[in-house]
Amino acid sequence: MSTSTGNAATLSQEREAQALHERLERIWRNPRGWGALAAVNHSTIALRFLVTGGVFFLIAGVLAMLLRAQLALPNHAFMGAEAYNQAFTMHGTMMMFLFAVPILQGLAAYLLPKMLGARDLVFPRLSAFGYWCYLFGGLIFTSSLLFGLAPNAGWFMYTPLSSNVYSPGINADFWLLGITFVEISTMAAAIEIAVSILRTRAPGMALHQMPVFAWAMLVTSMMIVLGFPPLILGSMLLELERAAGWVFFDPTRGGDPLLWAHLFWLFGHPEVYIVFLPAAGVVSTIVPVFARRSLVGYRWVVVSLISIGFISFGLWVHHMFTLGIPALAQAFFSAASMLVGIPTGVQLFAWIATLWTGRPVWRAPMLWIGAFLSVFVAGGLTGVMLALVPFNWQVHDTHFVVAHFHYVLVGGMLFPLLAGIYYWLPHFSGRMPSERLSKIGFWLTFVGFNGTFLVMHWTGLLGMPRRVYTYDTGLGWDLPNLVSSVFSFLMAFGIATVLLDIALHFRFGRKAPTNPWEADTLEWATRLPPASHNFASQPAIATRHPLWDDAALPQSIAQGHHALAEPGHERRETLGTDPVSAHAREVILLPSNSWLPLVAGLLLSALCLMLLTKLYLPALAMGGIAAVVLLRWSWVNGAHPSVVGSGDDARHARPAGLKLHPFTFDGPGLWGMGLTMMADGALYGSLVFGWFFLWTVAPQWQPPAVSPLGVWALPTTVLMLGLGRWLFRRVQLRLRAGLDRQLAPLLWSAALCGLLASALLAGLIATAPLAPTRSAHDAMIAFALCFLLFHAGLATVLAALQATRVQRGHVGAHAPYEPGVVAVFWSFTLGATGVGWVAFAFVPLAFAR
Amino acid sequence: MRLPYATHPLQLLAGLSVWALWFVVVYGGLSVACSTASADATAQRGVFSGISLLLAGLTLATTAGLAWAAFACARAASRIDHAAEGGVGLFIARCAAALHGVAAISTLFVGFPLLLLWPCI
Amino acid sequence: MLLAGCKGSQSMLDPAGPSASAIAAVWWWMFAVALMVLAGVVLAWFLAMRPRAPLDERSARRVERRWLVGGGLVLPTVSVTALLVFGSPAGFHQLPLPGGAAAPLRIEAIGHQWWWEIRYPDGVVLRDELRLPAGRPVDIQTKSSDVIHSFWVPALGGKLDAVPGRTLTVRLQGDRIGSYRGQCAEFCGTGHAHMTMMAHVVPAEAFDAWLRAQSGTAAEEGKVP
Repeated sequence: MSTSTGNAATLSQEREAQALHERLERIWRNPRGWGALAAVNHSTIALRFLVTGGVFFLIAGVLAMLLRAQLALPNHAFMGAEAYNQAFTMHGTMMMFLFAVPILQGLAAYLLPKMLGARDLVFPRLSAFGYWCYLFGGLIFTSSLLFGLAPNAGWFMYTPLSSNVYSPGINADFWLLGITFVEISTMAAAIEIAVSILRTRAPGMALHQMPVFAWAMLVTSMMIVLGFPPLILGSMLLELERAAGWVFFDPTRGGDPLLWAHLFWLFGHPEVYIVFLPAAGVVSTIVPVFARRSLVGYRWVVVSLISIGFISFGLWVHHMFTLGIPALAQAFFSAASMLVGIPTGVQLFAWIATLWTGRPVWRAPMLWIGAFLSVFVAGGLTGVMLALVPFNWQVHDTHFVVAHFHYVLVGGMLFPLLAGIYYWLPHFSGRMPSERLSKIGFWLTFVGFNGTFLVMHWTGLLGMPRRVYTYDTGLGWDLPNLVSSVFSFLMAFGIATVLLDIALHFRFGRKAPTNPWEADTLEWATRLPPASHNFASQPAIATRHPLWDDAALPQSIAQGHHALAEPGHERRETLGTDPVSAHAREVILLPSNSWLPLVAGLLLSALCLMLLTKLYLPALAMGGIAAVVLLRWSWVNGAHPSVVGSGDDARHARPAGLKLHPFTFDGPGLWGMGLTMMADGALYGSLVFGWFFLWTVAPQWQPPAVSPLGVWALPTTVLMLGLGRWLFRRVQLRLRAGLDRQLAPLLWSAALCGLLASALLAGLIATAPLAPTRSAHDAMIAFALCFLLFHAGLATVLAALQATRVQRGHVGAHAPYEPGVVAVFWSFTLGATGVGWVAFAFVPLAFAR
Repeated sequence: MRLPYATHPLQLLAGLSVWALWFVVVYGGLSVACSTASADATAQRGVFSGISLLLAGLTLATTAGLAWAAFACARAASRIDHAAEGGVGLFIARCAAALHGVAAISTLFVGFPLLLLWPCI
Repeated sequence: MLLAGCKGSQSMLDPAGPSASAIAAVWWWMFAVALMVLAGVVLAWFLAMRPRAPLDERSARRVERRWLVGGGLVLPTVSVTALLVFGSPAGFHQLPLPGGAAAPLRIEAIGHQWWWEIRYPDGVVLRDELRLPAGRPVDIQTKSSDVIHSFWVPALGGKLDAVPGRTLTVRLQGDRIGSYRGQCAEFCGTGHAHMTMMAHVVPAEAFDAWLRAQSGTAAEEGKVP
């Protein structure tokens, strides 16, 4: 029973909370009307990812219905071979690249800042840019269907089938250019998610207090950083082969089709774990809530996630067991492929143990978790079977494999995604999902899915290959195919019901109370639906279960009792913390709404379309314009007034007693650059791998008697870059000592070193006796030199920009942050050039046969 | 023996990074060796041919090294004062011990076919 | 009736040679174990979801450990080690190991878009057709004249791709007299679905006679290289 003063106290607290909310919303809200296209807030961008991913899922699903309609009867005339080949290629490619990864990244983008206690992700404009690249790239790619020019060589585009000899026409180019464009989004999101997890967690959320979903997304993001670049490289090489005739995969001129297979599957296998791990993170989040106890074996699960992250990079050849790899090598990959089942099994039994020792309740999300368990385990078991080489030799490229991967992908990704969507539906909309309609949708989908794909294992064992648009009668395939097709329509009906259920709940769902599932993690401490700024004040936490420790946390957050409750200087701020212990270290300044991401996205779309339609000179010009816009974007960063605010008090303010990040030596950009260089290194490493691979096994490899690289050009370039890097070191030492003078001359000198290095590389490319259209040897060297030239050129430009920024006052002893970021790029460029000299000039010299 | 860096976060990545490097050396080394040797020569001596013995030796050495690292991390973990570190150091040391163990077992398991199959067929 | 459903001239569960037989046997073992594991996991899930009295700290810890170690570590490790050790030898039949008793007959299978060119020694060439002597191993050397194809006769054994620029070898043997369908198993363009072949396993003496007759004809027609 509250007294009148108690009532007045609560009322005034509520009014204060509302005032704080409104002050923050003024700073953090999205623009209205057309301006919404300039929004950078993570919740908005994430919801766009989710919806767009859902749309691509439906298009790819309709394509699947067409495939099943065609296969329902033997010698069916519903679709011809060409249409069917386009349909299955697009179905697979869209599901993997335009649905699975982006939608999970969208879910992570939405949830992570809230789970971590942060206000936004660390690179808001990059989030928006990633979305535009995804949308525009996806639209360009999907539009190929409308023109009847869709890629038709299968989602893994084996050469020589996908080369311009056997796939003339721009179908394959839609794939190579469109998907690479979309991959910019995937890479950007991965880097941003990883840095956000490492640097913006709530104070007290040390590594061992981090939610399992954050661990899963950290591992996944690192896998993306290292796993996608081999495909990006492969796509570049194949497009160069198709467009310019450079030789990489043609065995008659020193190339090898197997190089494509290796590059693709080096990406392709980690890709499926990239799709599975976030889903496993979702399951690890939901199960403890509905078991009403903490997850069993937190350390075991973390160790399993990291193990899967690494081991999954050692499995890729199991997709190539029939390509003639020597038996012993196949056995290594067979063993590794079985080994990876163990950490997966550990997580599975951690979930079962959590339920067994808890007090479980059945709710809508738990139905999907149950479906995940049974279906994914079945798929995992057939996966272990496929890991056995002799069995693989029989069922590879049959419908058995198709059944297997649908079990693991639908069971291991779609079902947890739907569980997560139902679970977080109150968060997106503020309303509870239904219980009745959700059950109907669930059972239709579950029965439909199993009816379609269970019998498909049998179809494969009876000898039906995959990717065949029709089949003869009398082989025993008629009935199983008909059954699969009929049940696929049931599954489609189920998915439609689920979507209807979700759509209707926005109108008819009852309003959600605070923390409706009585969960433990921080995302439930926001309003439902959340404000743009997530938290009015940023709490510190002490255990893995902040909301179980303190059920009144949402109120104390809203009332501004925690950090950063004073939004000063009209700028967006979030706490920056130590990556291991999560002690608060600085305040990270985040940019507000901007048109740059959309403009950059549109320019890159134009570039993509020009490359697609072979307008190469205009494409070059467009590339130049895009580069200018991107560099302009990099200018309005760091200590620039548009981010910090104008005036001395804006620059010297110390919210929560912490420095602003542009005025320290560390910030998100440094970590972002580091991770980008890791991705760059993975791409370059794949190139060096390809070089040694072709040298070792390419059938017609013919190295010339004398290396076209000469003797002194590359070593001199290394020296120039080394000098430039050393000059950057001098700059950093001065900044650490607090000295402000001589910075610009040092940086200009570094830029000059970069210019000389670039000139040397350009000269080498122009004068070396290279014939990239005649031999793979020359094409690989030419590509490597272009890669190095690009980096040396960019290093020069970035050094010059830093020098200019020093002269404009954006960089100096007071704002010492940026040179360290650019220095990382210089280190990579120096290292890559050194490795290039060793790999392309020195080793061939030493081992010339 | 005390491992001074058992609580460093990079310990979490060290073990499996070593495994990855071992894998590259074994697969790459096998490929290079087989491209220079002939199938018949290695078939003569089967699993005891030079390349198999070399790689098996490397496998055992790597496994032993990783197992040592696992025990060292585990020992360091048992010596950590819970109250002082605030928990995250202990967590890292324990997880690192487990991950080094995973890496050791992975090396042994994946290298095991060296005892079963001729190289270069 | 279930086993009758396995039959079919392209079924891998109706083996006609040692390699396919060994692999089919491994399949049935794996299927049985997988079914038991799946049933066990689903049962464990249902039992775990049942309402029960909460356990005390110590019992809970024991139960947790049992699940994690027994289910998460021991079960998968034992299973996959057994699978690797006992299952891998099924593949030895297909490896073209050198140094056997007699050098097997070498047949080239050259993949084209969209047909198989089968070349025997002494200039004998067949189209989409393979003839094998019963009971004798044969080395099939796959090649391709254009894109990657895959040579596969499920009744005899696993497949081997035909990769342009390479010659790869698989050792196959047919023991049961009969005709078995094969099909290209690597997507190779619009005609992929129709790139089928028939493998005829005939008695060994009949095969020798046939080959001699064919190579005589081939010599007459000037096909001998």
